[in-house]
Amino acid sequence: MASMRRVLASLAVIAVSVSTAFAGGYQLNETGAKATAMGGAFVARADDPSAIFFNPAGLSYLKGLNVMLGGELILPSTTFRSLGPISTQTNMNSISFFPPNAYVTYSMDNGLGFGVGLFTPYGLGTDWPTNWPGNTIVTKITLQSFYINPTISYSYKNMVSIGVGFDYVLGSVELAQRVATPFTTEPTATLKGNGNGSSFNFGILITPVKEISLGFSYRGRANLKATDGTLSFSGLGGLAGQSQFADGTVSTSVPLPATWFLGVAYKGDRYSIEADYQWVGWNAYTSLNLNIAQGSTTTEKSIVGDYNNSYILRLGGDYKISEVFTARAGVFYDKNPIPDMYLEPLLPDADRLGLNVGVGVNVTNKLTIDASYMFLPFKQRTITNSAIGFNGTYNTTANLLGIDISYRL
Amino acid sequence: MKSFYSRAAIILSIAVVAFIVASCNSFKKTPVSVAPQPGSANFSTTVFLGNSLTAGYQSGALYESAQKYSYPADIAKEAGIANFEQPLISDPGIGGLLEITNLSGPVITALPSSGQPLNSTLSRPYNNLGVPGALVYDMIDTSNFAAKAGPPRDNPFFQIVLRNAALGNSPVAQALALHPTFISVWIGANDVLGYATSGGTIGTDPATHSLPTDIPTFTYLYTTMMNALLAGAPNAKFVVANIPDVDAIPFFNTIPPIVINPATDAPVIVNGSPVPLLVMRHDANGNLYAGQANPLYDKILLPALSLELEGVGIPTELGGKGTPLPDSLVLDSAEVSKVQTAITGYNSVIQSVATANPTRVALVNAYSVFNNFAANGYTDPATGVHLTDSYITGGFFGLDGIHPTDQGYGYVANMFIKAINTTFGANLSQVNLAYLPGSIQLAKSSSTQSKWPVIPLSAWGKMLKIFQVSNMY
Repeated sequence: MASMRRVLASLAVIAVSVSTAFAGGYQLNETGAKATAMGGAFVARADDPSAIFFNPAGLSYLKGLNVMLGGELILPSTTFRSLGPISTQTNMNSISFFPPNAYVTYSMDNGLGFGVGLFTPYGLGTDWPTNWPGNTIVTKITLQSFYINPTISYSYKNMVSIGVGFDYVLGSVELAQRVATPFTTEPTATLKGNGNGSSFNFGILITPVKEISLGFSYRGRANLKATDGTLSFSGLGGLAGQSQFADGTVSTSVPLPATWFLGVAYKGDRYSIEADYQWVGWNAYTSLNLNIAQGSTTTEKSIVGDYNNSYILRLGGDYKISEVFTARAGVFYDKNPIPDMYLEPLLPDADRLGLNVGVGVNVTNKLTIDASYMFLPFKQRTITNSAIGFNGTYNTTANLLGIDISYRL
Repeated sequence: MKSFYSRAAIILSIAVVAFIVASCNSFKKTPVSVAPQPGSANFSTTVFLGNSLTAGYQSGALYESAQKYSYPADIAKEAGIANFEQPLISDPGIGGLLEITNLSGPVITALPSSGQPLNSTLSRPYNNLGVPGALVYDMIDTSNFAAKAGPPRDNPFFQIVLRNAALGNSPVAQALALHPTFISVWIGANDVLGYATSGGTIGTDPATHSLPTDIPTFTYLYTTMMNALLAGAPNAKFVVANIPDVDAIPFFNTIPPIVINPATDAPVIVNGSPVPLLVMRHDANGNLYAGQANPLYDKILLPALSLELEGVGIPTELGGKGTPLPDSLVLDSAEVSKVQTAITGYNSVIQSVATANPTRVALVNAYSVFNNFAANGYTDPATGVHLTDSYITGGFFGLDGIHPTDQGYGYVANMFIKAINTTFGANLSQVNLAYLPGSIQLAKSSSTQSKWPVIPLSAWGKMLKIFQVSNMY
């Protein structure tokens, strides 16, 4: 008669395994189609309104009022195959993202420039089948960030320019995962939160001689703080009413790491070329702490990531075919920050190679359209020492299409 | 000057492109699989002999969803065994699958025994020849197995698993007909479980039909079986497992033999002592009498729960009916010691077979693994997933309190894999328990509200009938 009470009491032990969250190299540098077409090697030129992102010092060299509007369509595809002689492959559900960008700038003849940019330098999404083997780690995750970045710049004698800006960051995150229970009923837990944060950026552009320019820009780390997130459960079936599946609240803070670019560009009559080194301070992500409250019960979860700082090498250039058409191409190599043991299907990252082409079209002397295409293969990555015992091989490729429309007044 | 910068730009570009091209080689996508090293074993044709545990029986039934996670299926996956075939039965299987219809109770009911064989046209014996309810005797019994579906055994599984005498007229004959390179044997538990699950009222002892199979008989049958296999497949390697202690399974250790206060979940204390349940038990001369349970040694069987809820076994002073729990639901201290004697005896026979063939036979000490699990549970080092032997919530045993869940069978598979790796120098990977699905059936919605747990006695009937064999020789 009584031992069943013990059964009920210990039902509470069924872990609500909200034990993992958004992670990883969730940086997006594709904030302008012109720069993206040249492999993102743009810090030493920064000669369109996306200078606000790449190097705010470039604002000084734009002319008059500029408006640029566009976005990047991202189409990733990932497969996972567990290790072992007999294993099946899971294909991630097909997903797409379209982080937008928008810039308004005004540059005066005296070397002063102003502008404000809106872009998404951090974000990610993965969407796995709900019945896949890793469904207690993640079935779906999206992380979005929007930076609103007012900027000012000043150039001295067209040789040295500096720019600074302030970042107001808005973001949202959603994570869904199945909850492991001893039962055939496996409910889905969904965490949702909105947060905000702030940071700053600055840049320097030096033109020692007409053909050469040197650029450096820095953007500080932001912490996306979410304090009023929600935890909810679906698919509870016969588990409905159990206290561990009560709705709850979540608070957390997601680091959006610091980054800097250093580049050198050569500008000829019809062509230009640039090489950049980008540093990303991923060691900001050591662990992610989630505070979950369900009624009077609070749980703390800590998700270790221990990311390493990483870098991206970029090379790109353009060739002016005519007054109307400019062709662009670029490559980059992006070193992923995630140690093998912490790689999870939340973010199946790997070292990436970006192969980019693009075109710029001056439709009129006021209207320009820039388009870019990126093929982004990831290194195959096989994990054998997963900290959460989830070993296997990940393969990812992505296609990215960018477009921006610029208007000059 | 201009040409210098131009040249420098070109050289730098070439260097960067060269670096990137050099790294391209590692962007090839090549399938990675970890091929297990079999060591001195060869898993190309592997066959599993055994009872319900080997068949993948779970929560009172043999059904497809559970069979896919039987320990033989787990091992086959880790060993990379192709063409591994089992006698799959469509859900909800045969036996009466137990399901929780209401967690606040919980209320448990049996689903209809309406499964159908799915794989019955296979033209060779199955790789998993585990037969629910099988005794050691059944392994080598070459009489008409189809007849076992009728009285006195009423066991449909011999016909479902063995199908056609042309494939072999016993489990051992069918195993050998596959010309196996590797044979797994886990048999003997039912030779004592029939007695234990009937509260010591029914037995497989040929002389009395009321005791566990006696040790000389067991010894003869087991060694005859193993000799037939060792001689019939002279190049095969073996893994054999011994018999776990009944103490390690929830069917025998969930209900305490004392009265518990349902309001506090603590033992009722009268005059400083807990109050034993009222039970039918045996005195020193073996005579049955109504009396108090021995609070230290008597075991109350799980199906007694529904009677206890009605007040049976509880003294009238404490609000009960004052009537004893029947003999068939009580394994008293004398019966427990008979069970333990039998298990110890069987295990020494099994041990001796392994000892006599050290290079051919790996021994799984299931007795000690299960006792260790009962004492400590299991915590997955990577995810913290925790399994215990607790009924329902432990995650290891299904609703029948005897057979493991998918995760429990994964643990069993790992116990076999460890023994195989150690004895044969193989390196099969362990099953990752943390990512196996939960398998205890929970109805989609609660139907009734009940304050106390309800498992009708009838829910146990079909399953226990299969173990509780009498008059079979």
